[in-house]
Amino acid sequence: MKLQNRTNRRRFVQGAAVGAAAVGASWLPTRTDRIRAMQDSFDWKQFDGGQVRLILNKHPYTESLLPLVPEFEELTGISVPEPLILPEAEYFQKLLLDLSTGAGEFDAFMTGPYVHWSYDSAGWTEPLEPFLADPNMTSPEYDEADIFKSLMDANRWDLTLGGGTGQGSQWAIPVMVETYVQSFRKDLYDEAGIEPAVTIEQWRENNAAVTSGDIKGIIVRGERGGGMTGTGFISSFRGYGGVVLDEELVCQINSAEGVHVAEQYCASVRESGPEGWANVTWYEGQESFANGSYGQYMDCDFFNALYDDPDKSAVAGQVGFAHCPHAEDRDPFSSLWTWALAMSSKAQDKNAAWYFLQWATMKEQMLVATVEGRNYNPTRASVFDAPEVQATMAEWANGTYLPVVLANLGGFATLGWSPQPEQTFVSTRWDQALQEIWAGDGAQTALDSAKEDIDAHLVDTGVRS
Amino acid sequence: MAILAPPVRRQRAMNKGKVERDALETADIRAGRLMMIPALIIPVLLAIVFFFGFYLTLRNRRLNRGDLGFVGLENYARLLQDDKFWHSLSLTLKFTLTDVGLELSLATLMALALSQPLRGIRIYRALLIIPLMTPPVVGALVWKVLYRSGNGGFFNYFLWEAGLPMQGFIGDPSQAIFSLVAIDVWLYLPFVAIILLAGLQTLPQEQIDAAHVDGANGWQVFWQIQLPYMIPFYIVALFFRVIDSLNIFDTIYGTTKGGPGDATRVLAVNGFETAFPFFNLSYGGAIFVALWLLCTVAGSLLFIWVKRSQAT
Repeated sequence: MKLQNRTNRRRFVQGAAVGAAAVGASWLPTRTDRIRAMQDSFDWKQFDGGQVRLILNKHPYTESLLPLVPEFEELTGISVPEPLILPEAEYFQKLLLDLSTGAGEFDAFMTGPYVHWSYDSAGWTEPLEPFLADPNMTSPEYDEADIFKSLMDANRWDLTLGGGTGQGSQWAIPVMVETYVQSFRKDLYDEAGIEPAVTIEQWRENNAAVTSGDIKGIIVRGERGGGMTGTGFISSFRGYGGVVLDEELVCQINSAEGVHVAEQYCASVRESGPEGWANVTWYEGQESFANGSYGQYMDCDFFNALYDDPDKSAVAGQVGFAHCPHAEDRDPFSSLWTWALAMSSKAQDKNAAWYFLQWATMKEQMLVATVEGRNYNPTRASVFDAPEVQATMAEWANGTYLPVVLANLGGFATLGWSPQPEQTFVSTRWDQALQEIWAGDGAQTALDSAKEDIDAHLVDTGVRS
Repeated sequence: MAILAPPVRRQRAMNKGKVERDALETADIRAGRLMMIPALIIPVLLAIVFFFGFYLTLRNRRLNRGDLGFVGLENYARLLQDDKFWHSLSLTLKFTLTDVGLELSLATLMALALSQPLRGIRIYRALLIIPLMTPPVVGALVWKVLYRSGNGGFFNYFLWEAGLPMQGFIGDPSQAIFSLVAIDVWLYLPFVAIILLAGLQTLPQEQIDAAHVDGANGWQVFWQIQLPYMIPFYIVALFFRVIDSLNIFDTIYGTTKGGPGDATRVLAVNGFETAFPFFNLSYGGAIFVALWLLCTVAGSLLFIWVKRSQAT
């Protein structure tokens, strides 16, 4: 543990130094200018001497935030001991242990809507609207309305089981948003004379058509509990009219739409995907697509920052974007996820923690994090629309990035899941069913069994009667 | 000429010596008692943790909803009817039998090879310890990379180069458990081999030489002299490895998390997943109590075997 701490500290300081140098060299206002401008309009020194302890997921957002943290310390006088940064699976386990045991080891953390539903209903997260509404606690420059309303709403919930998002308390502030798309190799598609798929059948055909020699047609997440059903798959499932839980919170993953999409999806991965699909993580999918081994990766839109980086990617300039497969008579659908910052209800110094959350989600920081730290997609309209940000995104995926992502954010993208605190069980059990179908089980049988388990679990845990 | 002290002085000296001896003994006893304190505290702490854990299984304690009351043995009754529990139990036994069987067989060969007076054998013995110094979860993560799918995976790259079909390994339900056994064998084979090597090295060389003089071949020497002599060492290795394999968690959670499907969801993974990501601390605890019971039974059987082997 000590070694890990030392390593983290060293990396933290190195990252801060490199980041500070990069920030200093950019066209953006300098650190000193930013601090001076912010101090003019608000008393950032109110909690001088305080402390905020962070736990963060190892993520591009974290990489973009860390170099800016010394600026927060200088602005506020609040110290930020080296954050604990862990890979996603370990991160959520550590956070869960801290929150559930009430240990209070961390004051602020990264989370997102599906995950914090469990925390919110258990009383582990601190409602943020009192801070937002208090002019002594929130800078007049904060401009909450500049954050996309749909993304703020995704992190607002009144604790009603199965509904109530966009109402009630604000549990977290979004810092980046991801929607789901088909990222495909335009060169391979052109060579095969095919267009990106609209339906799931066409998707399967395309994946088979591109599979040749060393290239396989498709890679998607396959790891149980690693967001496997939560990205491209649920987007297609919802694009065919499926719902995970109906209004009475009865599981419907084994509906006709659910079986159809699961059959086609798993068959295609079996025919045209990686041999050990059930072990594929999001980062393995991203790396494998970027190194040119696959014709398509159906997953996060912002992964394109890597695909179109010629220093790191073998497919730069050859990628196209399209919406996830959907029924021909329906609009495309994309689930969405926001990484967001939240405060523990056991935070030692809630005022200092709120100052950190506020500072990290202000325009100034988000702009620097986006431009210098390549944190896409930003959650503030002013940052998203900044000419430099638009110019970068406009070139991505041969010009197809922005139209697809804007269409998603403009209405096709919404939360794919129903709010309730047993989300981890629901998604993990669905993951397991897809792995079973991929391994050869009948889709109807596997999904019936998963539905039975999910319904029993929701009754057992009191989510529904 | 010896000068004898007068009886009174002698008696005094003896008394003084006795007092000093008594003082020393008293100090020794005190020090001994002090040193025993950890030995007394640790079992008490373990017992407290165990009984608290057991008590939790008699309640309905949810991480995200608090304590929902006393349920008695309901969690244990549910275990008996839970197909997933029996599936996990059967996987755990399958993993343990394959893992320990392979480790003992390969470790025997390795110990025999290491006992030969070959050139550079000391260096090889030192290298052998490397996997032992690797934390299991780190070893598992390294192997996860080696097992990666496509030609970006280490093993698949060589299969691909050789024109052979690439494999799913831990991502394929039919190969996953055996791929995990391979990781565990890599981690613990040296440990078992070192125990067996220690056994081989304590065997008097005269017995082997005498057998050779009597015309015994290598196999007969191994089967009739070395193997019976090494049985206590096998039992020690079995004891550690059976208990450890039944408890297998880090290698599996670090790689497959119980998948594909539930092809590698052994008892410890099932218990952890139930207790933490799925929030059911009480039912997860009941699974762990069942695992503890399994380890206790296995450990007791091995202990009885040790006693019997000592008696014979």
